[in-house]
Amino acid sequence: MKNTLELHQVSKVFQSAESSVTALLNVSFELQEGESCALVGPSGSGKSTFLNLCAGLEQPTSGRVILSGRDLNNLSEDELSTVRNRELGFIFQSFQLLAPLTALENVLLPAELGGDYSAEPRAREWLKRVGLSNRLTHLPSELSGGEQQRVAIARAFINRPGLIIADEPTGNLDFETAQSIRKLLFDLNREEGTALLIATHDATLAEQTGRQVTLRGGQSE
Amino acid sequence: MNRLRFLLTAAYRQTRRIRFRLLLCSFAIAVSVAAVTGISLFRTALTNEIELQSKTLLGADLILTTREKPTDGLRSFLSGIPGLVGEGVQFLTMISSGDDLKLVQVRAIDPGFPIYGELETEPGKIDFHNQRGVIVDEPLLLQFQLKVGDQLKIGAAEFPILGKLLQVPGEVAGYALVAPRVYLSRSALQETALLGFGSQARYRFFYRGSEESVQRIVQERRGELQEQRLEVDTVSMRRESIAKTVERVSRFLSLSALITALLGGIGIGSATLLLVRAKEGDIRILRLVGGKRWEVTVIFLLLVGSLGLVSSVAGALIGAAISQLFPKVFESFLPVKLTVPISLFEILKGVLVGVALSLLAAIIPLASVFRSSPLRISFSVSPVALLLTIVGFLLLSVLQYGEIRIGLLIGGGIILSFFILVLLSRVTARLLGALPLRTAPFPIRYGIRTLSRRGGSSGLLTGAIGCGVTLLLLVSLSQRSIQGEIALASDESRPSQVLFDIQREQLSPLVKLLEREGAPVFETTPIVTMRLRTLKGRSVADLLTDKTTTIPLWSLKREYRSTYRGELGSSERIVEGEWVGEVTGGTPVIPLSIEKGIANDLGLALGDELSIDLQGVLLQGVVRSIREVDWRRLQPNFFILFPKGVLEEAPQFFALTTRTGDLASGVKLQQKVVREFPNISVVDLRSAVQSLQAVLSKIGFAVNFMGAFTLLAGVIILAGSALNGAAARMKEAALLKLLGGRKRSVQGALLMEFSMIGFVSAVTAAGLTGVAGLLLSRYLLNTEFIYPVTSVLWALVGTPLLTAFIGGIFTTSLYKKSALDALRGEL
Repeated sequence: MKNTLELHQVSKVFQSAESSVTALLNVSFELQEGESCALVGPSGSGKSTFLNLCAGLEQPTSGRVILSGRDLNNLSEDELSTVRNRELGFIFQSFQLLAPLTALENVLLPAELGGDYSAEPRAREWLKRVGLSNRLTHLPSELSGGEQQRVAIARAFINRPGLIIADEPTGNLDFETAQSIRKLLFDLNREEGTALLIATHDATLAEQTGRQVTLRGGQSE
Repeated sequence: MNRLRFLLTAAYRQTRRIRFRLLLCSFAIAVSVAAVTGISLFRTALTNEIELQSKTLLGADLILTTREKPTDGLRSFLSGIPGLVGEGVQFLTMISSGDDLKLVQVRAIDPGFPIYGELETEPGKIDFHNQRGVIVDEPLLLQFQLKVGDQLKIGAAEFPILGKLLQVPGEVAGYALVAPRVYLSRSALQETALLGFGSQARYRFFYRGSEESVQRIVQERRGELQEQRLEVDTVSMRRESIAKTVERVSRFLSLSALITALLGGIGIGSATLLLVRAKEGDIRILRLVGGKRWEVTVIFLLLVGSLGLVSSVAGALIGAAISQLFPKVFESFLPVKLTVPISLFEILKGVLVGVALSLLAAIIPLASVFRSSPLRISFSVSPVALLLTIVGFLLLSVLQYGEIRIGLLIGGGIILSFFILVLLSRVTARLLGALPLRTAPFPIRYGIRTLSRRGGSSGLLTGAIGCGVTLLLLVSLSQRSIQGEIALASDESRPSQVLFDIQREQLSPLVKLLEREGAPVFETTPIVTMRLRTLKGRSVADLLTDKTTTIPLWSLKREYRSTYRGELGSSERIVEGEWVGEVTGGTPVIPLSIEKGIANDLGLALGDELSIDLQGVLLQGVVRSIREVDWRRLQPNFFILFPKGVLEEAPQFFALTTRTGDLASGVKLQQKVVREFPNISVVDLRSAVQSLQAVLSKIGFAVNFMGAFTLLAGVIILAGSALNGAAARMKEAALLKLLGGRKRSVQGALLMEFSMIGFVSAVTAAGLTGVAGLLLSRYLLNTEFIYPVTSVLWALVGTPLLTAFIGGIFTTSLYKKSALDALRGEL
């Protein structure tokens, strides 16, 4: 099995005029194709910084981040955008759908941003897979929380990325809806063979992943 | 007291983190207040100045004018009227310099005139009575490429140019563009030999006297004055006619101020809505912890009032500064030289209007606060609040115009137009959204999709910007319509020259000369001068002193130049009644055809009777038909038309139309005609239309100046809206970045959305310009409707660029935030 994501001795220090804060210190991490992993830890433990670095949204102060075999440190801003578009899918606690776009248009967005203008049948198929074939033209404001998260999941998978990063994906949902979203996420993880990295406080969700990594004070335990 | 302090503190707290945005949005009100204050200061100064200079506006207390060379009898009658100071003669003539010819107004005056005020000249205080020479309008110097000190040939004599004419009391400089004025001493007029055979001069007699004595003369000697066919001009008559001009300018300015006020209101209304939306949670908490509905509403009311106050003070000061520019902008249309004093009262009034407008605009969003419960706030528009806002705006309009009917009509018109603009822009956005854009680049599709779904705010925004663009396009349309006349004048099937003041005996040799020069005669029209004596049984003299009559003074006082014909001309069409082309001699009541516009002014309908003074002979007439005349055809057209069989033996002169190849051959012909027949004036229609255009471009500048205000208010609202939506757009930008959008695509998508706002505004404005322009051309300008294609294309390209630029400036910070931070709400 190949590694989808590798972090080698990664540190991140935020400098300000008065002080410096170390958000991550010498963290190493690997995630294989199709593997699922939960990133847990209290608030302020460095989870966000970890995810930012994995997505190439921030550069590490030291160490290397390798996604699908490419060292993110050596990529330009545009190359990083391309990597994010093709290799990454994101799912958020607050869904983060674009309000003026319909469910179908939201799912199409990553494909269109990547220059693929013929992805509509695929987007429809994905919405069907997440159980929303009858909600294609609805705006996010016309959908329930669970439905919005399903749209977000379909959007994350449409470009068949190597890695899905999910940030508290069930945090805003009731118990039953959360359960169905959890099931959907892991089913797709298995069916598509996509690696899954979940930052969560939800113990039930964390337990369902293949392994758990705990961050505390910017270091992995 | 403590309660008030608490409410004020609470209001201040609510502005945290959004102060700049709020100030920017509310600054649209500053633009409105600047417009209102500037215009108000200018208008007051103009009215005061006219009141103050009312005597200088006429130059004398009474002026009596005759079109006939005064006989000894008339002279003794005129000398018998007390207060005669001097006399003057004025007439139109052609003068040449090198190969160029120009129609000018020659004015020869005695040393005593003007009795009040003086001709303003450069250099100042030129005494052309003791120093032989002339003073001329600048356009003449420019056209002939002459300068002060050069010689100018007028008729048979040459005169040195002593100086430039800057201002004649009571006259607007715009006249000079059509026929420049040349002033000289009456004693020098003899040398020109222009007042000989066939000249159409006006002889004017200037009197001094108190307003009461002048009034008495006019009343008591009414019959004699009429008998001698003298035109009467008094200070009060001139004041009244100037007041009407000022009223027209002021109505136009008020319209611009009101539109700007509406946009200013939208700006502060959006600021309030932004505030209420941003503070939705706080409002619910305030209600939850026991805040009463009115208390929470007052907190926001205080806030909006303060914003309005700050912006209005700034606006009033800007307006005071701008008012100093108005005299320059309207220079060509002002009858007096004007300086605008800064009045504290007007500034305070402007501030008050601004604060009132702010509170008015805030009614709708504040109604949401008032209806709030601890659980939720409804942002749906309350019909009562909407009604209150509209009523408030109409009230403002009535106050601005000082007349209930006009205020309601114009205020209502502006509101209606604005709603139409908003509606049209929504429809356009929807239509654009429905376009099949599958293969279009991502930013274009994104921009169009988002625009059509942003909801009400984008409709308001496009409506506001559309208002400014429509105003500017309509100005351009008016200018284009007139430009179309040049094309008409160059049409080979139409005449290019009008020759007038031709005496009967001159007709045959003149036609021969034209034939020799290869200039075909299109039409020869006899012209008979006459005055109205009675209208529907009432004497014109009565009507002139009747304060309640709505008939314009000029239409009663003027000398009518009429003609007689067997058939209608090519520019005429009967719209009511029946055309009678010929009558047999001795018909007691003559069937007349009256032009539609003057029939309206005089209140004449079919069957109405009128009597006409034909140089001493009284004729009885009846309105038998009403004609529509295409005045755009620059050819002899008439208000009153007689049938054949009545005027053939009356004293008359002729006008004749002809055509020459080009402007140069036209000038050559003019020179030959003027050399052989010095009394005949020749007007080249092509250069006349160009002169008209020069006047219009000056009007256009003034209108554009006000249109720019409106656009500025729209742009401020756009900038405010860009900032208002910044939080939402920041999240969108972050998400697009996260989903793999390149920086250029993300920036492009946002800029495209702003440019689509501009595009939809421009498309909507282009549509509205079509409809409004058609009405404007047909009913106001009386010109053929010519759609301003080039200007519309400019608007379609320029407006999106402008909105993208403004939107871009106020959203650049969006790209600097970390994507995940933005999405987690850690902004």
